[in-house]
Amino acid sequence: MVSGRAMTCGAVLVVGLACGGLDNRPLEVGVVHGTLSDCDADAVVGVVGDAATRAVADGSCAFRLEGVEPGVRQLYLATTAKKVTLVEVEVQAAKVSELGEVVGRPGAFMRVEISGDGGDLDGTVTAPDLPLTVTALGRSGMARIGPFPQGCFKLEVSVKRLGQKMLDACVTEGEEKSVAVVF
Amino acid sequence: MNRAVPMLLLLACASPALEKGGLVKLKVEQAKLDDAYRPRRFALLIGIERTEDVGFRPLRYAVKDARDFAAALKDPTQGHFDDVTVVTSAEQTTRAGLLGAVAALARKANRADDVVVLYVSAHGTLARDERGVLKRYLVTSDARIEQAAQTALSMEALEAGFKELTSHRRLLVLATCHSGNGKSLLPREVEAELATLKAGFYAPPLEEASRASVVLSASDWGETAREDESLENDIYTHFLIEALQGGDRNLDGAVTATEAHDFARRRTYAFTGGRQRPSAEILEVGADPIVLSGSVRRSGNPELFSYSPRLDGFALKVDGDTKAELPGGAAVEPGKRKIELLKGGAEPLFVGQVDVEAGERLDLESLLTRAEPRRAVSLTAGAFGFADAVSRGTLLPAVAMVGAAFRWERLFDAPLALQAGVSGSFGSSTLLTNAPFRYQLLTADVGVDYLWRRRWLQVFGGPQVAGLWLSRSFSLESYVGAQNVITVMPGLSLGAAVVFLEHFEVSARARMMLAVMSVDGDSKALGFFAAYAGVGYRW
Repeated sequence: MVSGRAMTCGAVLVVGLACGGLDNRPLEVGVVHGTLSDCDADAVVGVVGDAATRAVADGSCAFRLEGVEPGVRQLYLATTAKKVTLVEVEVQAAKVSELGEVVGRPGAFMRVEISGDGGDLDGTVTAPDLPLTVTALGRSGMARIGPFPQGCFKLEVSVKRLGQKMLDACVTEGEEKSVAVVF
Repeated sequence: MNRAVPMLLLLACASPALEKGGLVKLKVEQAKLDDAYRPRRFALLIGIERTEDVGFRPLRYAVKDARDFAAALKDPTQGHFDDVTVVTSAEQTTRAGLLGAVAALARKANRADDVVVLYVSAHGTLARDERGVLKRYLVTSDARIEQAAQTALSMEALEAGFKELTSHRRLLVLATCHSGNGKSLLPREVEAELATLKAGFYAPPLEEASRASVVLSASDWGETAREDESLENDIYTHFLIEALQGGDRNLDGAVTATEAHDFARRRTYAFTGGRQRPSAEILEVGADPIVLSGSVRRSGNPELFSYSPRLDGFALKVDGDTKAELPGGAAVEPGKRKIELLKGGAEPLFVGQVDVEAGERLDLESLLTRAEPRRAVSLTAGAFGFADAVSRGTLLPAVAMVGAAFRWERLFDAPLALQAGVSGSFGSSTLLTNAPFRYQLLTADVGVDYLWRRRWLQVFGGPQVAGLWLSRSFSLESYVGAQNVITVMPGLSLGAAVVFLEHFEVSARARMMLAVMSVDGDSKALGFFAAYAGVGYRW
């Protein structure tokens, strides 16, 4: 019994191409492993500046962040919906960097308020450098996004009707900060 | 054991007690017994000078040819043939008469070791048979030139009669030709047809050498066989008769059919200024030649010969001296001889030492196959890798390979060789400074080489195609998995071999190949190299 894949492979070989392939991409990145001191369903880990590289914690609050570019990287670790921290780690290609246990600190939140012309302000707000989920703006143009560790971060605000704006905002530990955005 | 059973049955029957049948003791002298089992020698000689159809110009010496040859064969000091029949009269030489004479010969010469000579001196002609195929005919006394196919004796029929002879030592001598000149006359339409041809002839020769038979022709296909007034014979026949006395080339006391033919061939060629080249088609069984004259009294000098068209025109050099032009042969002193086969100033076809013994008959064509192994199989070791340094650093480093290679040289007798090989490798290595992995690699290739040879050196190269299977398996902290790729790689190869001790060689070959494969999710064309050396056996 010849499988469809084998037949396809045979046909490809006949015309001088190849089957299968070599992939070095898994060899060129590293893995960061660690445990969150406490965690909930909102726990998330990611690389600052590379929001696509992210992982969630398992039931025992352990995480395995794969595909991390080698070098010294800053990790964003939200242990719960309200606690967060930043950790620097040196990542080696094809290696696992062990972080150990990470304790979250009270996180800051930003209340984004859009000042517009009184019309529909439906849109989104996100921190593009962090693995935060995209937060929707209500029709009134307001949203709360976080948790942020202490520091300065970029915010990207997008209103369907008015367009997009980027801005920097700095927060301290546990701060609730209002950010007004004028289009 | 098998013989014992009938012997026991015979003894049982012979028992006096049974009184049924019995064995009778006979006293037979050994000499008579030897004589009874001595190979017999038969000859049928046919000479046809005149035909009923006056369109055929009468020959002058055909009857004399047959009678002269018969006399030489019958002579106890020469041919000492036991039964010599000469057929020359108009009544005997009709188509039916000749077939009857051949049939009568077959009835008499009914033992495998009988020596049989069938000689024909007559006109030949060409005609189309009922299927329109141009064929050769022997002009019998009742033949009509415009109805040759219906009235003359086809050479096929004559040859069929010759082949049916039980004898394994049979000789057919054709002192005739079919070219339309000399001893040949053609029907007008055939003559007109041949006149339009640029080639000498287009029909294939009819004489096919059958097992243990010899066919001698007074002229080559398409050439003229001639009578000569000064010789008062057909020229070839004259020298063939002379050969019965002076043609013992190897000095063993006997003149064989090939010796006689060579003797007559050379003299006919010289006498006619090269216009008539008698030909021969010979197949001997072992060293059992047809003795035409005398008898083998001692081991003769070794004979080297060839009548193969493959060696036509080659010169035979023995110990540096030219001994014969082929087709033909020469006798040499026994012992180790340096033999060369060469044509013009070209590279010798064969050069080698051959140890020949007294009485040996060596077909030179056999040297070509015996001394030149065409096949070679080698165990090889070498390296394989990506052609570019980046791929060697990131995909697979150059790796050591072991394998086997096969080469079949001189395909279709052309300077071409078929080559094939398999090689493989496995081991572990490290990529990107800290990614250890294990690999397995297998290649199989086939190609055609152009082959250039100079004595012990061969250089070869040509296109090839190879299949590659490469597997990498990783067991890293960060990644565990296996990656496989199978691809086809067309390419070119170049190599050389040095032959030593006749059957051994050391060889080396380099290959460059190109393959398309998926790397990091993208299709890429990548070059590969392979280089290896090997030691092989040739046969």
